[in-house]
Amino acid sequence: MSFKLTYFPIRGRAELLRLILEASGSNYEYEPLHPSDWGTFKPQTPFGQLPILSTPDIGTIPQSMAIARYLAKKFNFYPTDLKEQVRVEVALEAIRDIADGILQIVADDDFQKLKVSHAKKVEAQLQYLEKFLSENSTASGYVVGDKPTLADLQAFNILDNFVKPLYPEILKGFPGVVALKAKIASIPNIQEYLKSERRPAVTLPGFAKALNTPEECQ
Amino acid sequence: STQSTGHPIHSILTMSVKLTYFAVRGRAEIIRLVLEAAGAKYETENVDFKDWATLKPKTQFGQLPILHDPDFGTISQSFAIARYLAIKHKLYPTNLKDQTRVEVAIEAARDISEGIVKIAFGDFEGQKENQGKTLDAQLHNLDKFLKENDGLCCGSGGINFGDLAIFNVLDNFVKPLYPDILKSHSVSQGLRDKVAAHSNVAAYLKSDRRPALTLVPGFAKTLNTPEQCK
Repeated sequence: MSFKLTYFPIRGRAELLRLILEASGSNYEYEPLHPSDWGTFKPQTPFGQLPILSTPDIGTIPQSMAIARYLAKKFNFYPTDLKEQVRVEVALEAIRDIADGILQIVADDDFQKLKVSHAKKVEAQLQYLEKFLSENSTASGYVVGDKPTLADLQAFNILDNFVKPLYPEILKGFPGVVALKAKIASIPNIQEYLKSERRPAVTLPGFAKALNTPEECQ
Repeated sequence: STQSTGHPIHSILTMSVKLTYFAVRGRAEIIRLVLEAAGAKYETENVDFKDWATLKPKTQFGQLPILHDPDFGTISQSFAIARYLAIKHKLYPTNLKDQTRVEVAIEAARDISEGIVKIAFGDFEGQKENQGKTLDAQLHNLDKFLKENDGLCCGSGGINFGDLAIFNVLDNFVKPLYPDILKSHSVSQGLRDKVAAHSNVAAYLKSDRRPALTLVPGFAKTLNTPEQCK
């Protein structure tokens, strides 16, 4: 038995998990759940939410970031040294702030106006991230050490799926952040995944005000 | 105070960590709970809101809390700090299954508090009832989750980081705003009571180390008076 990921047919909160599984090269099943089936399926899930992951060793796990840490630990994308773990966790929180800020405005009717007023915040957040990346003593370009971790995969996920489509010009102003994004995209398994049909065409569902058309999410 | 021989082990034993935050529970309370549950010594540096504008650009992410650990350096981001301290003080499990349950507990707790904090800074009176319905569903699922492990987050060795994260949210965000809701969620109520009864936590809850307020008055529309946050 291998891993089975259940989620809607969008990138959304499962994309990080797909990136970890794809980067690991491991076999996994993906069970798409269509929104029309959600009403029936929802009460069967641990927290009334998706994604969930069925695992061969510890049963079904809910909560995307709990799943992410489990997979990262399984596939050597989570450091064993405490100092390095802390750097990964700090980066994950900083990136979470960037994602949450965008998610908060992207369902709002006033999205176009909010998108403009939110730009300054995104710029400030990327500035902090740029500085944080430069503090990796190995100068590898990754968050910590000299190989990619969960933090780098999540950075790629949020930068590519949320920041780039909405704020491409702001992103260009941060070379370290841009370089990290390119480094992850060029990992052979990831490169292949990004071109494949396994990658959902859209990031967010139809009711969002953005990031829900293939053109926008290329 | 004690002399330092310069040996790293000596500095761990003689110098305590320093937590910098505003004088409210807020995003630092999970950190305080981990330190207190562990019986760890720590210094507190309270930042006055009027001084924040000057301090902000000097911080790693323009945010508080931050922790300075003489053995480690400065750490930002409340949950990164709390997890580090939990690991350091053996309040974080060592097996993957229980670690994963802790991470699920943290995310479930964050879902609850984020929903409440959002309306606490927004249209609180208008959204309070609606949020209560969401909360009811969240606590129903939390009860289910805790029941899988006899009412605690994971393992059988007493309370840990996951239990503290849940306690923090139930005691500081849920109970003051929805005082009756836990009556219909007995497993969550049970966890709240078990953590509150832990001797170190009980001592902390009665002490003046615990800030009187949860959120900052003037910004938050609720959870900002001592009576409400008792």
